[in-house]
Amino acid sequence: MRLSAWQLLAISSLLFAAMVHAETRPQYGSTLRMATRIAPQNLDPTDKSQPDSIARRNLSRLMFETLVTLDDRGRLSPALATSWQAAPGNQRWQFFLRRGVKFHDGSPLTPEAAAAALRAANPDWSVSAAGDSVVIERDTRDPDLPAKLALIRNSVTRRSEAGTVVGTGPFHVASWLPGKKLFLVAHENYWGGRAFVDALEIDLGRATRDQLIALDLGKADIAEVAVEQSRRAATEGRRVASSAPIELLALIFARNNTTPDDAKLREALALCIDRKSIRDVVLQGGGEASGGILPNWVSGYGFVFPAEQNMVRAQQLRSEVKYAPTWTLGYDVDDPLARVLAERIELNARDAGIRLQLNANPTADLRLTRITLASVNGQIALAAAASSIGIPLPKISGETADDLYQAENGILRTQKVIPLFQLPTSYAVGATVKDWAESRDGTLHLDNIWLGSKP
Amino acid sequence: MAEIRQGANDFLVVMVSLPRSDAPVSVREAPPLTIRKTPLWAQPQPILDVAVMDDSATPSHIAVLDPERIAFYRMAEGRWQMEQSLPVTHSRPWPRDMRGKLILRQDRLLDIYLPGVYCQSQSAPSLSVVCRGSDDPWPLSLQFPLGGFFTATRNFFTGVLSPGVGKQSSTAKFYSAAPLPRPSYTLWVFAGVDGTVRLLDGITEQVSRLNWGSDIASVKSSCGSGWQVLATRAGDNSGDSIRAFEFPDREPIAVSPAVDFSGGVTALWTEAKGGSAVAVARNTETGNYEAFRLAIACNQ
Amino acid sequence: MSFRRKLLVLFALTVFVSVVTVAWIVSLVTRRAFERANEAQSAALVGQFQRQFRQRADDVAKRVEAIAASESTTRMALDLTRKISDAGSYLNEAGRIAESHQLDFLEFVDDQGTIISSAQSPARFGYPDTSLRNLAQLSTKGAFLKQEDLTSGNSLGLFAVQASPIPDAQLFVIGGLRLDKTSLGSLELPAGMRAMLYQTTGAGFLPQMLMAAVPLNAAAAEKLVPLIQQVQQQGREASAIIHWSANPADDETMDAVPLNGADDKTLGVLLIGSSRRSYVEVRRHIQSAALLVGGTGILLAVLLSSWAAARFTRPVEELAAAAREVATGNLQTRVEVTSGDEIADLAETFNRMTQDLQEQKERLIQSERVAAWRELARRLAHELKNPLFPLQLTVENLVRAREQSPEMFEEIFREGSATLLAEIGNLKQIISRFSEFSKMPQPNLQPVAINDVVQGVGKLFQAQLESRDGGAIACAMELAATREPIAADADLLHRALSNLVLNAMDAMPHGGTLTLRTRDHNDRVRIEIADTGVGLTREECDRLFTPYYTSKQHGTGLGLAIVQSVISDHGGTISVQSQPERGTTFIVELPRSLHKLYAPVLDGSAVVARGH
Repeated sequence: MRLSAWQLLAISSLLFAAMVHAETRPQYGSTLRMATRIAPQNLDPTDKSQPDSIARRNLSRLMFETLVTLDDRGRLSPALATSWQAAPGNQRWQFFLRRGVKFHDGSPLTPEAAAAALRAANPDWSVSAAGDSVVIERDTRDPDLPAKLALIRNSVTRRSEAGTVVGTGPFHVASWLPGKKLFLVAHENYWGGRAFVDALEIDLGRATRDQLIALDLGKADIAEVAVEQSRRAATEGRRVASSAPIELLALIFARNNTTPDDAKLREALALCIDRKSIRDVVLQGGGEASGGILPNWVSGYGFVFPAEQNMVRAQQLRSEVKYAPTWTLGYDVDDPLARVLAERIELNARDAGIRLQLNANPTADLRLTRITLASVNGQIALAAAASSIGIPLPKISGETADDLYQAENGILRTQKVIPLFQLPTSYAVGATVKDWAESRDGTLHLDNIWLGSKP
Repeated sequence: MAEIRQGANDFLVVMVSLPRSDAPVSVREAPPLTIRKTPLWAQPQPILDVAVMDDSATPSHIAVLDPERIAFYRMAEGRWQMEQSLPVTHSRPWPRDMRGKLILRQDRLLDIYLPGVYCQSQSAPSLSVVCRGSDDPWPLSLQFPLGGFFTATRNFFTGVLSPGVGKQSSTAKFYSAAPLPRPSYTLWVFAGVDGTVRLLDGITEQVSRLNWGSDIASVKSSCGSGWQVLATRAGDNSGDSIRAFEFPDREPIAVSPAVDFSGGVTALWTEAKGGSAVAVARNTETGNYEAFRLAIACNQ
Repeated sequence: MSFRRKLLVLFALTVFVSVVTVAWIVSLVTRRAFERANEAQSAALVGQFQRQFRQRADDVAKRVEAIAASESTTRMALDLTRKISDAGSYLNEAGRIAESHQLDFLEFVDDQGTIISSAQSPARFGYPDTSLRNLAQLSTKGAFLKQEDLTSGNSLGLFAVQASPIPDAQLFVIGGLRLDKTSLGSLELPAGMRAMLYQTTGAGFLPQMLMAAVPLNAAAAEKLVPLIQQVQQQGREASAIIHWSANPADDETMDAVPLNGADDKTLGVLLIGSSRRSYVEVRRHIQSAALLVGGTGILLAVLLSSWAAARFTRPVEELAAAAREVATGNLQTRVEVTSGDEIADLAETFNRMTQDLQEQKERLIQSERVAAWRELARRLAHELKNPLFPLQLTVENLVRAREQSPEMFEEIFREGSATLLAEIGNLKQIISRFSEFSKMPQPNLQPVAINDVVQGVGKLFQAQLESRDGGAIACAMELAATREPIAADADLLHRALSNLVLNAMDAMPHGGTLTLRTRDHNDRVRIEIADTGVGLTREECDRLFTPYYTSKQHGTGLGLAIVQSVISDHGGTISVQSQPERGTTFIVELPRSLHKLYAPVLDGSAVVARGH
């Protein structure tokens, strides 16, 4: 009997839970070697020009921190702020800063510094320092403000005298070759305890295939595993850990829906895609077919949105349109999975009578895009997804799941996006890596891992 | 094995095979001893040590040390009630895998040893704890005077001993130590950071690989040789376990079955009187830290 | 054109034509030989390509066979047989196997043609491969050409099909190698040759479907269209010369070979080009060599011809020179005879002729001299008779008067003495003129400005012309602008021109106009003495220069003879133009003869010429 991804995930989580404590106490020392696909040109977590991804967030969390963190169950935990309170109405929030925290350049974390960082990241917020706290005031009630503060773009940073951005995280930058290599060293006086490993050596811009090879050769301790490689990586004997589905793979149209014919064609396209075959074959059983924007484990209702293929209906809709233009379908040329997916979608579309032309042009009519889950807070995640899709922020009337559903349904009805899959992030972990922990939302806790002796 | 619930009534049981550790342990055919495990305390925050303040068979007054405070509990009406909670002040951040030790004193209530910090209880005007920065050696045993210097920013002892074991004033970095009295000397067992077990008798140092965990403690009993070493288990296990060993010579022999824990053991300290030890483990299911008293029971 | 030049031109032309003809023939023969060699080389290359093509086809078939027999294919086949195949596990299988076997295309399809795994289009799993029918038959056929439909466009490749050896497996392996720029580049081509591949699309000619190691621009690619279309339509090989530019060295001989698929449709055209540069350069070299040889030959021909012509024409020229000498009056000229051929005969004849001429001339001179003496004696007698007769009468008168009229003898004696003296003066004048004529010297040639001489003559007679009793004579000077001198004796010329002026004055007893005119006439000067006097008849003009002929009442008649003698001694000529009552113009033409001022004086001895 084949196990579903969720079941596999549960088992792998158990396996990893078993790895929490190995035969010895955590050992300090050694350098953790890893690589990542992304190749950021700057490390500033507040830089919105850099594409968002789980990998970038994890990288940023090594160096930068927020006032609070959100775990994968949506629970807030203290970080740079030890406590907080909201005035009635949730328009005014006060966050009390942890004492004794210093930036990597030795300067103390002060309320003024924190306020300045938050003001820069949120121009429409009113942020001020008050005693040993930071006060944030909004025009409207904002019960989700703490969850927003947990977003990596709200990291508390400052510019050093040299002009570099510094943080308060468990690691600081020792050397940095933009787009190539990042060498981080454990921050000795990190408020949460000095990390076990002495340093992190991170190769940037490495394909997942190369990362796996490096892992197998013993030249790396951790490797990112593409979703389509996850099953094979596990069957080949590697220790693979995956998060919950946190990345939406979707087709996003460049323009809004303009005409009834356009609407029919978009609907036909959504119906003709054979997600099951793609998931079974192309994604190697990884990920989940999805008709919604938020993963089911976040929203709780994701299964409501249909994701099955209906070629008959698709062909019928197509036949009702006299003239169907050829749409260009763009995809990321650096993503080998994207190409195969795009080709498969093109084949499916062709079966429905819709012509798609593949190209790598960023200005294509529609584009195969990955949207990373911004937060386990559904409202924040949906708002961020809407922004990525390019439609106005939906008005969410309340805080219930139904309110969220209505907003998400509203986005889907614009037909600007065709959700395809929800994908997890996976890692292959070397035998010497101990206490590996990855949250459901893909957050890595690299400051907690340590390297044991080779088996 | 894992039981996965799907929906309201749907269960799935999955068995996953894991490699067995290959620790070469000598076992007596019929273990003569048993380790009795008595729960002491559980809490979500990490427990560094628990000191049982009374001598009754069933503890009713305990002190629980966690990284930020020491809390005193008394059993009342079948439930533990907090008597007092005193903060532990420290200026520098604590290291990860925080360790700490409570030493009950005669002249004062207790001492607290923390990485780079030493705290002393004070009774007047009221019970309080005064902490200061310190690199004083931690007492490794109250029965056999030997101190070990603890690295303030790490989770291990430096290896420097005070006053020393005979002529030996240092050994390799270690996590824990257990003394074994001999007729004319005390054999000290150290669980090294490198995974080795070192035996120091004051003259020689013997290094062995016993596939023990990081935490060892010796307890006095009326069984066997009178002193046993409790040791955690090595290997990637879903849970941890502790077993009792004796050293007829220089090779350990398991003298008890293993007692299991629901998670990894995070602390193992011999209690003040030496007849039992306190073990703390983190329950992987609940995430709580659970403290137990371990005592040796002779099998009749 | 001289004989030597004619001969020279003839010789040179002969050599030139010969050399050009030979060079052209050599060039033609070489070009033909080169073209045959080129054709042979192209044919060899086409043959080589076809062999390589077959080798590659065999190679593809072998690789596909190896894949079909491999473990992974066997496992796939077994899974299919047991219907436990997991499409997901095969997604990248074809790509992996293709990479390890170095194939560009690889697909695993079941017996229905459904793709299980595709290297070139991984997304096509589960879809039927419609490009091939009857896989079982194709698996027995060997490699064939096929167009593969990719998302990036069609691609031509060499394919082979192999069935899995597992019985009842119903699994086919379709593998292939791309035919593209890279595979073209792997062909071993000699220098100056290249291969291109045009992939047929069925939509007319598309420049982007032409693959070459160095891509052609659209304009250049268009030049191949007729050849490609010819091959596509006819389905057989063809060849053409492609002119890439105006420079013939850029031409290329293009052989086009059709590449047909399994169903014999032309899927592509292989173009093998061989540069004609070396041929053009060889041709140019030959032409250059021919020109060089020809030029050298012509030069040699000219030199040799000059030498030969000189050798051959020298005796002729000597003969001609001798003839010219003879024409100038030098009958002493002889041509030396050194050979025994016709030229020698001619030379001998010439010598004899000149000898005869000289003898005749001498006889003529003799007879002329006798005649001249006779004439002179007659004239002298005539001249002398005139004054002698009055002398005689006067003396007789005196005798008579002494005898008969002695009283009148004194008077008659005075009258008679005067008459006697006058007549004796005449006699003296006559004798003086004869003496002068006989004493005419040879001219002493010096550079003389003729205008100066004429002006001198005019000045000499100016007073006389103005004070004539019968009427003044106007003197007009029309002198040429030239300043170039002539070789002449100024005194003799002065004397000759003075005589002419005197005659002109005598012809205008009642006055008139005397015009002294000089003109340049190439290498001669022309002096005209014109009067507006009574003029001369034609008969008088003819006899004018005869000594002693005179139209005047008095005069010895020697003046014009003296003038003619002077002019003749200067190598010139004198002529007269006249009409009665209109005046007379004497025209003297003198050569410049400046060379005579520098040339050695020939003493009139014979010029010896050597004949051959």
